[in-house]
Amino acid sequence: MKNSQLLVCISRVLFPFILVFGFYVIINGHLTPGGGFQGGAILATAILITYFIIPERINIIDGLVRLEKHLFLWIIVVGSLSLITKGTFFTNPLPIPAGISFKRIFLVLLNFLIGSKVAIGLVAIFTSFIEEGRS
Amino acid sequence: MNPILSFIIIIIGLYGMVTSENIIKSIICFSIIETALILLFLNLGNVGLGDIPIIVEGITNMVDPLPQALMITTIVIGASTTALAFMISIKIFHYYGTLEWDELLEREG
Amino acid sequence: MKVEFIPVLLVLIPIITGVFIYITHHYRFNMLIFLAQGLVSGLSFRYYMYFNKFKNELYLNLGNWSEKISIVLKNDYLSMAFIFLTIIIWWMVIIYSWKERKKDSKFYFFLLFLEGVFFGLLQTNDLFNLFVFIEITTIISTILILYNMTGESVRAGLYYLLFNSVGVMFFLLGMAFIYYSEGTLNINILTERINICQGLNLTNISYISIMAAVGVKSAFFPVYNWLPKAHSAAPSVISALLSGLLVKSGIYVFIRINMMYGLETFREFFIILGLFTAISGGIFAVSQKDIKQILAFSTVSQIGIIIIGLNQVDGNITGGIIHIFSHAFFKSLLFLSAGIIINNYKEKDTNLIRGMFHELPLVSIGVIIGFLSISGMPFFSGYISKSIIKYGLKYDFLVYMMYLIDVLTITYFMKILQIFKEPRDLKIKYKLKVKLNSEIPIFILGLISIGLGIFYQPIWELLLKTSVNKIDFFVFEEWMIYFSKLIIAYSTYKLIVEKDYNLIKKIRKTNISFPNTNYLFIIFITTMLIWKL
Repeated sequence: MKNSQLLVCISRVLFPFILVFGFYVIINGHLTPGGGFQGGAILATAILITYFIIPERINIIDGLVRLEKHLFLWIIVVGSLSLITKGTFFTNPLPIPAGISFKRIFLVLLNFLIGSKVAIGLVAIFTSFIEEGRS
Repeated sequence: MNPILSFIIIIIGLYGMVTSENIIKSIICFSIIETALILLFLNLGNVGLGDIPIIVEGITNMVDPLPQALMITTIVIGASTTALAFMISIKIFHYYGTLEWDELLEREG
Repeated sequence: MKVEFIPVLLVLIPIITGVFIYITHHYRFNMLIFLAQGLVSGLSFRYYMYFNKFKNELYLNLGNWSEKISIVLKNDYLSMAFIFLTIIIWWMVIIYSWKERKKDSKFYFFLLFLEGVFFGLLQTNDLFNLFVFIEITTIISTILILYNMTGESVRAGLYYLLFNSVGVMFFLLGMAFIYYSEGTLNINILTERINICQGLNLTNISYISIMAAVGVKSAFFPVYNWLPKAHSAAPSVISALLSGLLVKSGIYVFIRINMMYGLETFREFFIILGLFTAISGGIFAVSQKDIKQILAFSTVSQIGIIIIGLNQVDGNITGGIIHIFSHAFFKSLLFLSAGIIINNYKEKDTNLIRGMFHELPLVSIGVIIGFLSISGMPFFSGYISKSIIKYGLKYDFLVYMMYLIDVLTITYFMKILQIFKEPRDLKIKYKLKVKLNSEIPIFILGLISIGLGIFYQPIWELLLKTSVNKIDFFVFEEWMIYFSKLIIAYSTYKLIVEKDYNLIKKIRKTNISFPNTNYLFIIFITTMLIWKL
């Protein structure tokens, strides 16, 4: 498949900026619009742009899918932490009068896990399509 | 104005599903209907000149955040259904050798 | 570990076990599936003891937020009965498929995930949560239908996925209308706030839109084309699960939405729709040769009877609910037996399978119990539900139509009963073997069918907390009607069906392609709009 040189060149320039923007949207999810899912989709776009640059890339679909399931178990564990301190599922484990610099650890952690899970999931879907088309 | 736009796109999508002969066209029409529904839901939460829905001093008129949160889940469901449908149509092409609905009924895998 | 968290645990335990089995691809970890299923059964019994002390429904707010803004899980008598049905049928499926799929981690991952999502669908009290769970059930069922990757199943899987997804999108449209006019999506609050006026306002259009989606999901008259293809192309275990349980999820949503709206003008429409479904299902079933296609069309026909039972004029839905449970048990029994027959004879055509009573005695008894239940013989479970439905009908015309449906049922079942004849060539001996774990579910399901037929009064009064009329078993009229139905069906079969006329061959080859099915769907919605006016 012939790629145009212009697209390859611009992708090389744009790749680090999209990556940084994706991480910015994920980590600041509790202050600005965005959060886990939206930032994860932007990260997936950044990784998939590299298919224009180097056509032979990721070959480990099985490893990616299993890593995604590991992340799912970690999300359930972090969500059940509040069972010990407050007695219900899926709330902030720290008590309400605590300072905001402690409470936002939970939000940033959960956003980060969800964002990476979404990014890996979307990359796995598109990689399997490209593998199918190549064989 | 905006809800009427969503209804027009839904009718276009339904018309496409009724008259399309190819499998890929039917999947794309399904995606069109779903995008129109997401647009309709997002318009319901819009309150004129509202602000971002985060509690800060001095803001009273906020946009409704509930439809936005629900639509994230809907986008994910739509993406996975479309991806799965495309994968199945690749397998159909392997077994039957055609991608038209009419010929699919007659041939045998 | 409080008792109140058990609803959430019922959803989470199968999902986490499924993910864990998938991560560790080792075959020794597949034994965890028995541990998970045992835990779920034990927890649901414990919750039922706790639930019995209160006299009404139990709620659980996730995250301890107030009721108006949180996700709420609700349990009442209907959902507890469905939970027990789910657990029993999943035990049967796991025991049946253990020996041959012992090392297959992906299959058990999907099966356990489906169980967790189904528990979530039964217990939720929020409309959007219901939508998400219905969609996830559709996607996972598609993957399980095309698990064997043959040509037939791939085609059936695509048809199932696309058509159901288009239908459920109309559910989302109805939800948009409700949110615009009421401002909330919680089912309890909506039950208080919705008042139905005459005319064509937003609430009525939302009801029609949601009913269109529910109609696609539970196989009403014009839009049931996906069901015979999907249920006959799937592996036999999955066919038993789909026909027994997952088709009933659409009917469960139908009951909940009707309880929410409280609308009475559409009852006659649904009774007529149920009649058309049952009769057309019966006519198509009479013309088929393949054993799984006959059973799949039979599911359509029985769903027609369930719809008639759920829409009685005086609002009593007990007959329909009892028929849901009886149908789940005997249809799973029939599909699991069909799986054993197809595995051993390597043949799907009923004209070519012969001589089953000598080779597989226990499975033969299972098929005979299934036949007696589905045709409504006294002492078996089908008789109870059909009698309750017949007593509640107001017009005599409808009672005669029900007799016609019964005659059609026995006629198409005569085709399956051909397999008990002796083989033409007396020298063929098959020497068939059946593994023990395949026979245990058939034995248990047969016992349950007979038990529900005899001890119906204590069981249903305990589970559903409504009073069930006492039905006599020894009324002379009923036995006479039953035997005359048998004689009419047998003579119809011998004269018309066995000769295999050209008309029957043409009905068998009818196949509607996908664009035309969407056309039928739009006609369905337009008919409902016109009825409202």
